[in-house]
Amino acid sequence: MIEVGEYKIKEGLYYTKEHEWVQVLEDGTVLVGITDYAQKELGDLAYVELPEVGKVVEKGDVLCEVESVKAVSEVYAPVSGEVIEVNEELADSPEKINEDPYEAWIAKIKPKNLEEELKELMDAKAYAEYLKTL
Amino acid sequence: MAKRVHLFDWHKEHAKKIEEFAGWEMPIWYSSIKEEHLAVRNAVGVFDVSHMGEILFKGKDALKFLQYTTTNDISKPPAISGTYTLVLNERGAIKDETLVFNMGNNEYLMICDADAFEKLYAWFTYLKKTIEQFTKLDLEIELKTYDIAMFAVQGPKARDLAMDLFGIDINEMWWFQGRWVELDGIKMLLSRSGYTGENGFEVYIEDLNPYHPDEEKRGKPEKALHVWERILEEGQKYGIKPAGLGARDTLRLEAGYTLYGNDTKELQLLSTDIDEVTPLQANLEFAIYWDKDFIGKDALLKQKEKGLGRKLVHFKMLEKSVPREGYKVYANGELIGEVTSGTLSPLLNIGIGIAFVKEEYAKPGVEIEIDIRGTRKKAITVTPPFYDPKKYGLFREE
Repeated sequence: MIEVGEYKIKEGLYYTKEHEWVQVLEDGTVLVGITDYAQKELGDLAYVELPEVGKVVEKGDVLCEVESVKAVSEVYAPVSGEVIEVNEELADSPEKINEDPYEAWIAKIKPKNLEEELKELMDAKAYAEYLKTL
Repeated sequence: MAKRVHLFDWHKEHAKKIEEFAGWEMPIWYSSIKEEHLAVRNAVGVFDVSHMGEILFKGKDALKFLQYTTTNDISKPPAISGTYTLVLNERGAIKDETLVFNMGNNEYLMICDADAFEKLYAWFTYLKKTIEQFTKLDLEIELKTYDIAMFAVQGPKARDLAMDLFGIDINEMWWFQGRWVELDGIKMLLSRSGYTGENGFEVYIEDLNPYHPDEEKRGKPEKALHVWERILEEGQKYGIKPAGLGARDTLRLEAGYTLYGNDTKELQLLSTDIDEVTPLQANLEFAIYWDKDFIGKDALLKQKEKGLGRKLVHFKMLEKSVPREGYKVYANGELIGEVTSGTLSPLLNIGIGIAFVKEEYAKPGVEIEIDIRGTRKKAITVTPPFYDPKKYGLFREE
């Protein structure tokens, strides 16, 4: 883990400026979640409006919404592709995202243009530098 | 620049979230809204609410002036005690919900909302000036907001904590009763009061504020800081938590209390009559003393005759969703109003709120729908508080 102030950043993942993370799995699919910074900004998670399995998204589309006691926030698709699985556990226990944001993935996506799109994302070090500017 | 309370530096160091509220840079949460909320419901929490406004009225004409400019009867409660009373405009709409303490010696201290005190101070000063074109008043009106630090200690363990700190039993005081107390040589006003639904007390400490708008009055808030730290230290054995404005909002809403600026309001520039709320529409008629004359009374009497049009009603969601201010409310497919306050109840884990709706729907047990960002979700109107009053709140059975 890299730490910037109170925020943790997990190495080996890719990051967006909107504070989503992407983990590339061995089979070429990816897991998507929100970062420690995002969950700390939101505070206690109230609901996660999970996307539907089968939903096709372009990079930058709204993937789903997460809602805290204080605010609603949109989660954007960090890569293009099809949602092939969602983390059902979050429907009943959204607080998992507060407890461990890098374990509590939201959706698994079968990407269609991963290699190109990964280039546009930040690695952990770059994201750490980015957080310092906020 | 945003206004800052006496202990801003302490909050800056300890709070995880600081945000602007009503023009003040305030702690929203220290650890988490939920944790702080539950600490208050189950044990005790302390809030720095020094952003609340204070206006002091002094002189032989102070009582008469306040009797005419606010709705409730403040002539009867003896010193020191507070009366919940409303300031209305000439249209009967709520300028603010306030607490006025009879301090004795022709002194009255008004506690008002953070986003209303400047407006109220200007309003009272203007009224005084108008009257004084004709007759001199024995009345001084003094703005004290930046000089007084105010802390709210709330929860079922607040009584024990008051005993430890001040050696007094707050349960022997009536609600809104005040008295002078001392802690380590620091004198302060204490009242049995609060805005969470729980038992508790509030303390008012006059001290220097490093962020006072008047440079000459700036200084270290040594007294306020000492009291704050002693409350936290002494409260440790009860599991006390400092609580931010996030939890203050979820707690007051769970108890069903309205908030000026959200649920009750007046408009600065009137465009439509649904943008203002009168006490009749806000179920606050208990704070009106009809046997006297006061600003706004004629308008209220007229409204009684004409019908209210709209009224505030409490509701809870029947589906997973968090209602928020400004969301539209429907019944039988018809648009009937708008949400004025909404949140997720940390205790009940359901969405709860207050809405301003057509009068005929403003009663408990009505099925309504809330438009949550394009999707209508089911809700039902209820009578507050949202929690079981036998288990939580001031009247819990123990």
